[in-house]
Amino acid sequence: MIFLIFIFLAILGIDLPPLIRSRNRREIVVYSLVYLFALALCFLYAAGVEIPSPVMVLGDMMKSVGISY
Amino acid sequence: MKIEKGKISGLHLMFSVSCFLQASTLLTSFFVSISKRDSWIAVLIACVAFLPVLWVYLRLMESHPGKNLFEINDAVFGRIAGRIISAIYTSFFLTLTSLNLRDMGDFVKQTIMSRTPYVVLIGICMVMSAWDVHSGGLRQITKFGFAFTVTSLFIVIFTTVQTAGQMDLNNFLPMFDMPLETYAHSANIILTIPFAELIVFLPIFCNMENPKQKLRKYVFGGFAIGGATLLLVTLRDTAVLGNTMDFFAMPAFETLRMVSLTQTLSRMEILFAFILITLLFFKITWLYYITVISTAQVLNFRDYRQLVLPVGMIVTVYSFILYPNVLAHIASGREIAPLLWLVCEVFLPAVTLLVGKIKKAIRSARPSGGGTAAPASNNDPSF
Repeated sequence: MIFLIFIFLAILGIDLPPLIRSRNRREIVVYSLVYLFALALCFLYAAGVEIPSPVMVLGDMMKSVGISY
Repeated sequence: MKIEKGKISGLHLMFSVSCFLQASTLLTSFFVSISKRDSWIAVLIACVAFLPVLWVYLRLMESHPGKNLFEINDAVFGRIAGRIISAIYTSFFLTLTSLNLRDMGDFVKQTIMSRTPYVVLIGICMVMSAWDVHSGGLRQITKFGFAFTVTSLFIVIFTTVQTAGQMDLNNFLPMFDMPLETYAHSANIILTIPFAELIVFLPIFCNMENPKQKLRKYVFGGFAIGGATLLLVTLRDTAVLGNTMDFFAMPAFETLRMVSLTQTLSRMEILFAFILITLLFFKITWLYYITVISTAQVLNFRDYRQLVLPVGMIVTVYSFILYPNVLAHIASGREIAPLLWLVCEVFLPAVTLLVGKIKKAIRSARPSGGGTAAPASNNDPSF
């Protein structure tokens, strides 16, 4: 978990300065959303929370309507 | 707005296409367990079946010169629907990247570094890929395609010659004795899993130098090299392993375990492992790059490099959660993926081409000079 925090701080250190210098508020907001999504996904996985796989969910749905080999 | 402005030569594109297909030789286990000794026939059927799909891809790019896949979606379907379709493509590219990352992790873990934690194997690959995508971009990624393709071809031909003594042509008999559905199922897997994955090249076809004259030639050339390699590997594995092929998770690797030059120079499978890791690294980097530029295009970023690292983290975690184990992955590759992948690989490009043609026909049928002006997004002379 500490290693993960270190990685995400490093990512911020690399990406944030050029974004702030560009002064594009929209890009900063969108980047923050993508970053927070990645952060949440990584921490949930590291904490052992079971995250459903979209491919498995789609596969089950297709099988339930008879679309599969 | 175009995200990637760099240009690549036709030869770079051709070898990138062939390298991308050669990296899929690990995935022969998806179809050899279905069509067994007739797998080479399924490869040939898939090659023929892929030609019209490739024609759709090329027509789509040629009818919208200078535009990438996402700009075409915007032009054909309008801004909102176009963005939704581009987002579907982006999620598909993200899934492909994670799947291939997972394949590489599984392969290295099972064959070479069985005691190294999975997260280390995947993490190292992603750090290298992120560096390549962040610092190099299109030209950097495609630069080594030629070297990888030639090395891969050399190793495949060399190992085929070396296993010649263990080949038994009776392993191909009896031919054509399976139900038609078996060939169709197997060919569908080959069509969707390595061949039609070439859709990931659609966002950069417009970055080729002189795309009008040579695009077809180079794309077909790359497909021919990649398809021939897959056919050669399938023929070699069938001749050596016969019907036992479907007992193995990696038939090509098992074939190479049997190669022995002399008593001291054996274990040639390490050659295969070396080139396969190299090719998979190329494929993962390519898919990662395409996922990043697709995300940047959908989110309207000016510089894709700002998204390389967060997207890389998403790809890494996604590769862990995709399938609970290798068996679930193989089952999905046989039963679900051949049908699910068709939506993004065949259906969407075909619909885009068709809608574009219909719009062009309607516009040319209108009397010129009169009536209302066409919407800005559809005001493209290429229609």
